[in-house]
Amino acid sequence: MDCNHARLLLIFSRKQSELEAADAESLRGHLDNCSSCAGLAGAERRLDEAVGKAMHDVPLPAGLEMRLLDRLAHDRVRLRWRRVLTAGSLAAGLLLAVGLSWIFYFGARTTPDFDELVAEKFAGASPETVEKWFHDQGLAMEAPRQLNFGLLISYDISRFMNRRVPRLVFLHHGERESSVAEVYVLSGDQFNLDRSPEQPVSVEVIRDNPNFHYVAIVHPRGSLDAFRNKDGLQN
Amino acid sequence: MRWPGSKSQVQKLVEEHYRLLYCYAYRLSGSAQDAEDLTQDTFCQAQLKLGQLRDPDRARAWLFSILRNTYLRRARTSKVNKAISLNGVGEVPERAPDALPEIDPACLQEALNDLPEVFRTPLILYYFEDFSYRDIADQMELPLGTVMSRLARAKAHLRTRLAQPAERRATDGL
Repeated sequence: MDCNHARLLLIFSRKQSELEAADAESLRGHLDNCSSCAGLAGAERRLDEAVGKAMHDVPLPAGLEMRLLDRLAHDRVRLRWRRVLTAGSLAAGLLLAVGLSWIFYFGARTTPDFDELVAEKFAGASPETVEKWFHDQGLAMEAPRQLNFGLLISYDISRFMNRRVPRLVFLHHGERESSVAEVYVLSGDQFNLDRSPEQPVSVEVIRDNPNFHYVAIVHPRGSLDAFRNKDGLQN
Repeated sequence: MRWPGSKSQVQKLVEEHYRLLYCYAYRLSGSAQDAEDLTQDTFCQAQLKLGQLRDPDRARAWLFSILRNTYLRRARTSKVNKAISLNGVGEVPERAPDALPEIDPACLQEALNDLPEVFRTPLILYYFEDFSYRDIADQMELPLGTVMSRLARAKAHLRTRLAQPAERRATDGL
């Protein structure tokens, strides 16, 4: 071991036990034979002892331990309260969520009002009333004024060939039996009315409006005549 | 939210380690007030994280590590950097230093304050005999060789600084 290597190891000699066994042995051997490095080793040791002693020479403030324990106890209480508050907040939030869900789910359900069903939709529905109702639903239509709206008992939106179409239901009380006519209003915007096929036996089509065709099915099978306005008068 | 450790566990931790921890905090920060604050903050964090301490024999190293991280966070916030550069400091003494008189702890602190933290920490831990070089390297999350190199340079600075006469230290400032 040369002097440079020995002096490097001297820097760490305070913890000789951590030096490699071979390094420690070589260092000892070198110091036995090199007075210069041995002098440095002594100086290094004295420096380490003096600095080590001074390093630990820090006056402790009076009452430090008590203050530390007090602060920790205070923190524990604060943490407990925070836990309680957090748990309380979570519980309150959960209750609120459940409550709101309950109100939203059950509160959104409306008590049925049968009077409204009859009064608003069917009583005395004129062609204009019917047209306005469908318009409000986003369906433009012209009511079939050739038919007697005094016989109209219901109207709603039905589906035909995957399209929303207005449907009107008329009821006629005959002398021997009653009959029902379901009338579907097909719009020229939705269907190619120019290529409307010939009507089958069970269906009657009114084609005198260029924008709308009225397709009627009468139950039991019969004629639409009973549902037309008398003398061709329109409503 | 973390659960604090039990009261008795925390008390034991304080009783066994507060002196050395305060001493470390003082040498690191150079101020009694900062040292007390750091020590308190360290124990408060330890109380919260006590479940993370798997091996009670490692409690001291764990506390020191918390304290250093707390110190570094504060130092970043305050952005105070009084330390000098160690570029000019050699690693190995060229000659045997003069015999040093008994070292004044306040002078030692001044010399420590001059050092950047990356040199100051290994030096302090080196003189706290419980820590091996490996412990210091673990604390600082550095390779062993880097720690030893920094330690050598820090010791060289300390030796030079402490060997200066008091009046020269006052005017020199390195």
